Amino acid sequence: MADLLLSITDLKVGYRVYKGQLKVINGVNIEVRKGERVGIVGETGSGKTTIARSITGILPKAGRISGGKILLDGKDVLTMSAHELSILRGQKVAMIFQDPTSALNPVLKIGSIMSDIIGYAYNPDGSRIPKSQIHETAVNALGSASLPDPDRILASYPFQLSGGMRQRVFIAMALATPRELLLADEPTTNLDVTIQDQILRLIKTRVDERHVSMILISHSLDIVSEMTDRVYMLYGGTVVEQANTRDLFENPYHPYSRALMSCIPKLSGGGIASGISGEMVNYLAPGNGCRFSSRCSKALPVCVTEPPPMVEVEPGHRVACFLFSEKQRS
Amino acid sequence: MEELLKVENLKKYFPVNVASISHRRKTVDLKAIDGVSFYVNRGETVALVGESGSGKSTTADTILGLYKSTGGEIWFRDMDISTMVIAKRPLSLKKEIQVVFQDPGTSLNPRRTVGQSLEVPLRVHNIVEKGKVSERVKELLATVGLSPEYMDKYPRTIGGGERQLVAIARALAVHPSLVILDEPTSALDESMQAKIITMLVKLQTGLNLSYLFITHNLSLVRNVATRVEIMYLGKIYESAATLDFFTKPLHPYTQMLLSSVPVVTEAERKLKPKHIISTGEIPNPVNVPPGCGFCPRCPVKLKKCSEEDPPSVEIMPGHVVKCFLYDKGRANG
Amino acid sequence: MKTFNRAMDSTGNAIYKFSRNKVSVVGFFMVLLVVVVAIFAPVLAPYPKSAGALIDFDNASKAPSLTHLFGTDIEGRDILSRVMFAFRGALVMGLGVIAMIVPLGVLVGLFAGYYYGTFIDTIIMRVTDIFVTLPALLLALAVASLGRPSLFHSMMAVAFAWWPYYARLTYSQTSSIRNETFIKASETIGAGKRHIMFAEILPNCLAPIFTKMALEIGWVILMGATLSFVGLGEQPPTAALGTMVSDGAQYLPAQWWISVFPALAIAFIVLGFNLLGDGIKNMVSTEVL
Repeated sequence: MADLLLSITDLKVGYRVYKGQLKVINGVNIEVRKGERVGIVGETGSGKTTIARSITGILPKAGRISGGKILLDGKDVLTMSAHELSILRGQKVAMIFQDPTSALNPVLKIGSIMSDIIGYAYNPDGSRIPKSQIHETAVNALGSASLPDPDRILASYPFQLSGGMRQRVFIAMALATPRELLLADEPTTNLDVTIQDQILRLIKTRVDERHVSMILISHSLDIVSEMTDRVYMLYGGTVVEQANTRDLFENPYHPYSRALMSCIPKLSGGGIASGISGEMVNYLAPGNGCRFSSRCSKALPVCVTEPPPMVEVEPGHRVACFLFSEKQRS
Repeated sequence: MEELLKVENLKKYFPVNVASISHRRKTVDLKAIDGVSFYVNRGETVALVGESGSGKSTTADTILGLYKSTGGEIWFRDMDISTMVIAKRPLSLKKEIQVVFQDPGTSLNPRRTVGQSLEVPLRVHNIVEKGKVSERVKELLATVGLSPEYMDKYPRTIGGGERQLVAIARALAVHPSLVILDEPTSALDESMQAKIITMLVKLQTGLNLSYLFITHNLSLVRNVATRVEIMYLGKIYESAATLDFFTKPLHPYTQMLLSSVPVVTEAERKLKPKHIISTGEIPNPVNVPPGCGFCPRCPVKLKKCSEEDPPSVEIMPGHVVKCFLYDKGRANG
Repeated sequence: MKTFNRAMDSTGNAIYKFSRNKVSVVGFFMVLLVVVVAIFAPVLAPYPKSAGALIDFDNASKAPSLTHLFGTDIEGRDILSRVMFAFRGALVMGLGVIAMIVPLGVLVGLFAGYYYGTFIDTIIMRVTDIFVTLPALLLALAVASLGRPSLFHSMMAVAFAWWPYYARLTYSQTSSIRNETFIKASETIGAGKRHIMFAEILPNCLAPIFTKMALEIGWVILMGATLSFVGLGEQPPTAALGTMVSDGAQYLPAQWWISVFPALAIAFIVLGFNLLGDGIKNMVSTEVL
C-alpha cells in the first residue's frame, strides 16, 4: 500500500452567523495516498468546499475549526504558522477553482500572474525558482496544458482567452512547479461538454505522469466516476459512504447514495426518480443522529438519536448507516 | 398532430464592430442564428442541444420576441409572428408562449417576494378577479409542490431548485401552450434536477403543454425529449426522434458530443462512441469560416467541407443530417 | 448557500451586519445626539435666550468656563446654547435638501435608464451632464446670491447643485438592471412599462441610493454651512453654524472659542453622518458570511 500523503481525522468545522453556529463538518475522516486520485462528492451545502478550504487554510472570516487534525506529510495543517502555510500553498498543495474567470485577476496579463505564482513557489528542497528561469518554466507549463503559442498567451489578458483556455492556464499554473497534492474544486462546472472532456483528460494525464495526488471535489457524480480511483460521498457535512469508485457507483449501499444514483439521468435511458424528499440539514441544529435520517425512507428510530457507525460492508467499502451494522458484527 | 410552433430558416445577426487589419473599424455580422428550421407539435418535448456559441439561447429569445429576427419565419399555430417583437405582441399571444430561464439567481426579482412575483402575471392578464389573487397564488404554488408559506419569502432565502419551481409556476400562471425551457436545471444539483424534471413531465401531461427544451445535457435529453435538434454555430446539423438519435448518431459533431459525456455506470460507458474524441474549440461566431461550420474540428472532413455549406439530407424518416458524408446525391466525396 | 440563507432573517440580520463595525455604531449615536439636541434645544440649552438677539455686555467674550462651557461671543451670548439651536438649521438643511433632490433625481435617472440607448436617454442625461460639469459649490453660491438670503433660499441653491448626482446614480443602476433576466421575464409575462420601472427596477436601485443619502447628509450640511459662512444662509440673529464661524473669525486667535466650537460642531455632524453612512452601507450589502 502506498504511503499516506494526507490524513484528515475527525475534522469539525463551523461558521459563526447571526443566529448562532452553523455546525457544518461533523467529524470527517478522509485519506489520500501518494499518487492517488480521490473524489469528494456531495451536493450544494454538503460542506465539500469547506473541507477544501480547511486543507489550505483559506476559510472565510466566519469559519471556525472546532476539532480534528489535517496531517499533510505528517504535519498538522491546522496548527501551522503563517509561514508554514505559505510554504504549504507555495509548494505542496495547488488548488484549481471552479470559475477561471473570477480566479484570474482581470487587470493583469497572464504572464504577470504566472510569474508571480512561479516566483512564490518553493522547490521540494525549500529553494525558490530563480528569476531567470521563471519565463521558461511558464512556457513549459503552458505547453504541457496543450496551449499553442505560449508567448502570445503570456502577453494576453484573461478576457482575451476563451473559458476553456483560461481553465487550461489555471491548470498550467497549478502544475507549473512540482506539487504533492492538487485540489480541484468543481474544475469544469462552467465549461461546455466537449471542452470539459478535454480538460478532464488533461488533468488526468498530467496528474498521473507527475505522480501528484489529487482530490477532485464535485457535485457531479459522472465526472467523479470518470476521474477518480476512490470516492467519498458527503452528505450534510459527514461522510456517508466511501469505496473504490467503481464499487460505489455500481453497488451503492447508503440510502442517500442509492437515491442520488436513481436521480441521475442515464445515457442508457430508463427515466429518473422524482428527487429526494425533505430538505437539506439545518446546520444550526443538526441533532446528534444521522444527518440524512429526516429524509431517509428506511430510517430506524436509532438513526435519529445516535450517530451511525462506519461499517465495512465489503473490503474497502464503508458505509455510515445503522442498516448495515449487523454486517460488521458478522 | 397539431403543429404549434414552426421555425423556418430563422436568422438573427448582430452587427459588431471589429478592428480590421487596416486599423479602420469595420462592422461585421455576428451570425448567432443562420438558417434554423424546426417545429414543435402539441404535447411534444423538442430538445434543442448545443454548446455555448451555438445560438440556442438566441433562438429562444428570438422566438419570444426579445430580439427582432433578421430573416426567416416564425409561425405560431397559423399566425406569422416573425416580425412581432415582444412590445408589439398582443397580450393573448404573450400568454401562449412562456419561458423559464436558466439562472434561478437572476430570474426572480430579488426585491420582491415570491407572492409578489407570482401576482404579476395574474394581474397583467386578469386571470382572476382582484380579490382572488392571493388564493390563486397559493394554488399555483401547490401545483409545483410548494407550501403557501413560500408566498412571503424572498428569493434569496430559498434554494435554487425552489426558485426554479417558482419560475415554473410563474410561467404556468397564464396557461400557456408552449413553454420554452432555457437550461432550466443546468445550475442545479442532481437531486434537485430530478425533482424539477419530474415536475415538468407531470405538468406536461396534466396541462397538455409543449416544451422547447434547451440544454447541453445529453443524458437528460435521452430521458426527457421526444425529438432532438443539434445546433452548432447557428445551424442545425442533426435532427431526429430521441431513440433514433441515440442508437444511431450520424453527424461527427454529434458523435464527438456523445463521446464527451461523462457517465456513471459501465452500461452507459459501453454506449459512448469511442472513435471520435473531442478536440478543438468552437470558433468565434464573428469569424465563421466558409463551408461547414464544424469543419475545423472535424476528424473525418472531406475536401469540399471547407468550401461549401453541406446540405441537409434525410437519411431515414424523421432523421436529418447536415453533412457531406451522407450526401449520396453527389458522386465524388 | 441555501443553508446559510436560511440562517438569516431580514431585520435582525441587518442590525447584526450594521453593528459588526463598531465605528458605525459610534456614528449612529453621534447622529442621535445631534437629532435629540436639535429637537430639545429649548429644554437642553443652558441659556435658551442666547439663541436669538441678546445683548449682555457684562458676559461678553468670556473664555470657556463652568458656567459657559463653550464661552460667550462678543454680544454676551452663550455659544453652547447657540450651537445647540444651530443644529436645527443644520438638520433642516440636510434632511430638507435630501428630501427634495432624491425623489427628483431618482425619477429622472430611472426614466433615462429605462430608455437607455434611445433619444430620451440622451436628452435627459446631457442636461444632467451640464449640471454636473459646473462645480457644485460655485453653482450653489451663484443661485443663493440671486435673491434675499434665507435658510430656504440656501436649501434651494444646494438642491439645485446636488440633484444630478442622484440622477446619475439611478441611471447607471437602472441601465444595468434593465438587462437582467428577471426584467426579461417580466416583459415576457406581459408587464407594462410603469410596472417594470417602479415595481421591478426601482426597488433594486434603492440600496446604493440609501447609502449615498446617508453618507451625504453630512456634506450637504457642510455645504449649507459654507453658504452661511459667506452670509448667504440664515440671517442673524438666528444661530447658524457657518455664520458663527465667520463672525468669530476676526477674533482669532485671542477669543478662539467663538469660531472653534461651531467649527468643531460642524465637523462632529459631518463625521457622525459619515460613520452612520458606512454602517448603512454594510447593512444593505448582500454578503453572507
